[in-house]
Amino acid sequence: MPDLAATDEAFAAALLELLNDELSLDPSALIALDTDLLLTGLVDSLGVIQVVSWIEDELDTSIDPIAVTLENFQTPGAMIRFAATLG
Amino acid sequence: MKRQQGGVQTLSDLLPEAAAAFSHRIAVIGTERTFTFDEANRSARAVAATFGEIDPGQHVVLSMHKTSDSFIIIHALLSIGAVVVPVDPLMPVLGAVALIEAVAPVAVVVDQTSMERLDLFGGDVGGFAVFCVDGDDERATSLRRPIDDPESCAQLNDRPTVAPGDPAYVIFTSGSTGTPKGITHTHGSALAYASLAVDAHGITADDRLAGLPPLHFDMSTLELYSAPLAGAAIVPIGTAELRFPASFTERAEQLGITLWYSVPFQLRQISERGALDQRDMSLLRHVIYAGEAFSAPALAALMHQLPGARFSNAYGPAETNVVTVYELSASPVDVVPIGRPWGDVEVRIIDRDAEITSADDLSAVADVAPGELGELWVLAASVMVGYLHAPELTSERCVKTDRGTWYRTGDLVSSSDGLLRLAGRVDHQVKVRGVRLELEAVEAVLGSHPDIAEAVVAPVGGAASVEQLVAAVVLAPSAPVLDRVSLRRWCLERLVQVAVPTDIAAWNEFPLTSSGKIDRANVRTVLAQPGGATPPMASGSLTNGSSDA
Repeated sequence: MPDLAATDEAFAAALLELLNDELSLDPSALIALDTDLLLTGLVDSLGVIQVVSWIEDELDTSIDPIAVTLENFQTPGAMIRFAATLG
Repeated sequence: MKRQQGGVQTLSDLLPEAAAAFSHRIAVIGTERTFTFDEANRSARAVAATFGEIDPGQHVVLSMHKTSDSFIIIHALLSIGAVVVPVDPLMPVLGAVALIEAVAPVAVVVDQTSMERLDLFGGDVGGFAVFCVDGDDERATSLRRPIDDPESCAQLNDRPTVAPGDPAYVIFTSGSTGTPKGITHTHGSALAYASLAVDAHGITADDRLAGLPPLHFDMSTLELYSAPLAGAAIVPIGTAELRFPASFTERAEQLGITLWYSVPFQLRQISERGALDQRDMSLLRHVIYAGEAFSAPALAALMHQLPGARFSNAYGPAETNVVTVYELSASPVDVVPIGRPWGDVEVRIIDRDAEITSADDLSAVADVAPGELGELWVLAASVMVGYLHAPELTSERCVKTDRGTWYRTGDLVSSSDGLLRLAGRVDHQVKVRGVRLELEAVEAVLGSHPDIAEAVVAPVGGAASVEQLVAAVVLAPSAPVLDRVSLRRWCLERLVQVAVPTDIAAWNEFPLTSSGKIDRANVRTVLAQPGGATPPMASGSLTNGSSDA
């Protein structure tokens, strides 16, 4: 996998772009790093699956389903912290 | 321990009687705290006292995520005879506001998130009292203290008299005109279902039910009413948790859940992403699915993962509650039957084109021959009393007879030796991830966008387990190109999430039938094929047909 530290900001920007432009269910809401995506309903089940496969593609890794939890995916920030542990 | 006997005549009696029969057993296991039946009943009585002025028969809208609090609030409302109207807390704001206006409730119960979304104090709706379960907005009456510390609050002592024929709750479902239909159930129809479900599924006070369906979905009535009737504990599963199958299975294992009730979509997510090979699910004894067909390979995979559990397919429109059930004896290889009528439910299978408006018409018409397809009619004590504020619609679907109300389901079925198989719809209703939608309603929303002249919407995924909708549109002459972002936003503002087409293609024109109407069946067939949302016309047809010419 690529050196995550070096690509951290680009990864975060790309993730936010994916969430805001393609997966958000309310285009008028701006998703930031600390937005709670799940309670606000901005991303649904299929959106979560798309985020998981996007991270897998970006980092060229596979994510164990057991790691796809509320804690790891509640906010974009949590997703980035979780992604940093992969590899 | 046996279920409650005799004392329960209405839903209002459920929690008080459960508190008497099962007092120190667990009623609700929330993420924050656990309530025994006695504690839940005391909290409900304090909440009921807080509601104060609400009279029996008045409507109260509930917009909140499912928690242990929502169980208590619903039973508090029922105890004072209020008619509970749960709405999807994630529903588009425009739709939610229109729905609240149509219901004209005396009160709205919300969580903080819903209160802000719906802008209850600054927006267009008003004229009702607002109760909030969390947060500290002074304009709303807080329900926090009555729930958490009922001893410090006044408690309702004298419950008003509620009769089995009185309305208890309203469930909204998609209507073909785009206006949702409010299905009104009485205390009697709800309790008839709750009681049959306890018997059929063998629910006891030793059970722990995972409450997966959201509150605005009629399937939540199993946990709300059957569980307290049997003295079983429920574990409410919130929307956020449902999106993480591995989080759900972790909780199910830790809490020793014995019964799951859900639409196939959720169960397939759990099967594929729930890490079941790493969980001990030996206490899970029964998985019941309903709402739509379960594809045989996906169901077989789940049954293989949960070898100790029984599996049942339950069937029934929200208007009738569950009326048939089928327990699988082996791994399915084909479409699973919807089973046989349970309890005292009666069914008839009648020619779909039969004109029936009265009890006499109904007794004059014969059923179709065994094995033939026909429309399913249902007579049951669990049938709704009618659609809210829509008597004409009610009389189109319901025929009252001496023995009760027959409901015309719109579902096409066949019967062999009394075993019923579902074969489709007489109209264009579809189930997407278990949510009932009318294709016409989605087409109407697309067609109302200024850029769109015509729209056709199709389900993708075949008859079983539709997971998304796709659309084809013909642009208005004034629109040079298809603006997908604008169109998606338009839909998200007006439709529930599952109804928003995931792919929208611009066609130059739609094929017509011999009578000159849009050949929707033809377009839907093309759309339903893999890659079908790609326009079949010449490439570059994303531009308007007229500008191509």
